[in-house]
Amino acid sequence: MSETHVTPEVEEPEEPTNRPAPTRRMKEWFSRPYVRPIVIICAVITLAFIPFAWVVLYFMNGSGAPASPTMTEIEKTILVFTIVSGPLMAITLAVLLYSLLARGKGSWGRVHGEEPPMQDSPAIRTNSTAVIAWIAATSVLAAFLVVWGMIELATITKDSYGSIASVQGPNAPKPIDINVTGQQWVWTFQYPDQGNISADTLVVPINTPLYFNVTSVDVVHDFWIVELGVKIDANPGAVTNTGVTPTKLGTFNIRCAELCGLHHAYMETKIQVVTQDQFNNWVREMGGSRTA
Amino acid sequence: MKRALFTIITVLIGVIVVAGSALWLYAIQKPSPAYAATVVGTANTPQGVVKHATMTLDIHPNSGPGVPNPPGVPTSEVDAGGWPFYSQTSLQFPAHTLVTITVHQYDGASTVWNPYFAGVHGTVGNTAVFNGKSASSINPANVAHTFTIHQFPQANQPYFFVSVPMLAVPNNAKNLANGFPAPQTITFSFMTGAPGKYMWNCEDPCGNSYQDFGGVMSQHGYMSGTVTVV
Repeated sequence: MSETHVTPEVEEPEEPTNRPAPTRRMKEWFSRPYVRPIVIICAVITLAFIPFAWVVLYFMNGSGAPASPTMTEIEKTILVFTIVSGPLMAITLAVLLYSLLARGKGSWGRVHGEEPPMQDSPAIRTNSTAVIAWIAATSVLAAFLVVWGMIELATITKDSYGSIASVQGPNAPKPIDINVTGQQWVWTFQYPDQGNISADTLVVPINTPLYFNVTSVDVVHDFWIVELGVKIDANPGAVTNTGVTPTKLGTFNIRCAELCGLHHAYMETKIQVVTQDQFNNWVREMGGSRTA
Repeated sequence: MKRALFTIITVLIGVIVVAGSALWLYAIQKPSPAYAATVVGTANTPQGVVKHATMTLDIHPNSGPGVPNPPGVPTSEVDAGGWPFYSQTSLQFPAHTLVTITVHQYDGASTVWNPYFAGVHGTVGNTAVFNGKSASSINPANVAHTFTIHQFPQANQPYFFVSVPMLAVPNNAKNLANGFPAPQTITFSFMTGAPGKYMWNCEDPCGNSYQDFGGVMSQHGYMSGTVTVV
């Protein structure tokens, strides 16, 4: 005896007909009890967050303001990205806070897990307005970040002589080569163009391109000139290159940015950006020869 | 409201656990007692007449009969294979003083990876006296250890860098009656500035494991320590 399987007919929800105009639907959506509080929380957090971008910069500049075009570009990018991320963070926090706090009675407390759900209309299987708006908004945001990032990357690469050819124009100043060696837990610097003089602090002339040949004799370190926006790995057995043009006189910080052992936190030294005459004098005092 | 309260309490418990762990780890640290340089008089320097202090350090190739344990390291933790160490690691110098350090070095040579540290840096005249002879550097192949003082990340303290290579005892050196070879004697002087806190360590890899940077090169109490200028 064969059994006959009868597939029960599933009653498809009726497609909404006579849909209201988009403006009316938007108005209805905004009048939902949970939308307004979330939008308000979102707006408040966004407005409160925007000044935070400058707070980030304030702490970034705790040891000194940017001393090179590279660091200026990096700070600009951080500022813009922090501001752009504000609304995204705000909407996440707003939903979280509303879900967490809207438990009482009143307009903020109408979503009660303990109570029966409100009468709802037929399920909406798609909402092309919402889909298009979401895709458009996120695409514009992502495209903005990508384009901005690529432009800044190209600018910073040029400023840091990612391609040495970029500073070899007919009128371009010749960069000073500096060999940087990291080891647990000190930095040493050698100036091959100035008679191979060596030092434990970096002394460089202002407005002159510097080209760093960075390596390590033990573990991986990371050569980081904080206020000049230079940061590149120092790998044992390999040489990595980067560069910068310091544009501000003063003494700035060099640190290791790669956890490298017991005294990693103490692996720091100074860079002194001086005038060309002061640099020439320093080279002479160190027993070197000025060749550039 | 109850849920918010639970959330806050959970976060607070997390903060207390993390902060408590950090404080506990900080409290159980037992740095070896400070070893202070002795002021012996005054000295004429380019900076004028200043106090003159002296200090003596030993570098032992390992612990054993007649050799003390590394500072702050109990016998039970002394490596059986023998690790080299400085006799004192928490050093203290008076501020604005000419400090003269004499090191008796008993250990053999190891490879100095960076020739910069075969040179003398930051001392008076950038020289040191090796067994009675003044020099600004030694053969990198004859370096046993270095005594290198450098920066400590503390704001508003003067920069301080001193590095002196420690001459190695030759491999064929004969032991004296006390069972040890005659040590190399290295003497150097430097000026201290304003009060501050720094660290020192050996920059000549003398440990084990990768590139000789393990063991004593990565633990407190053997080849590294603090320098406090008071």
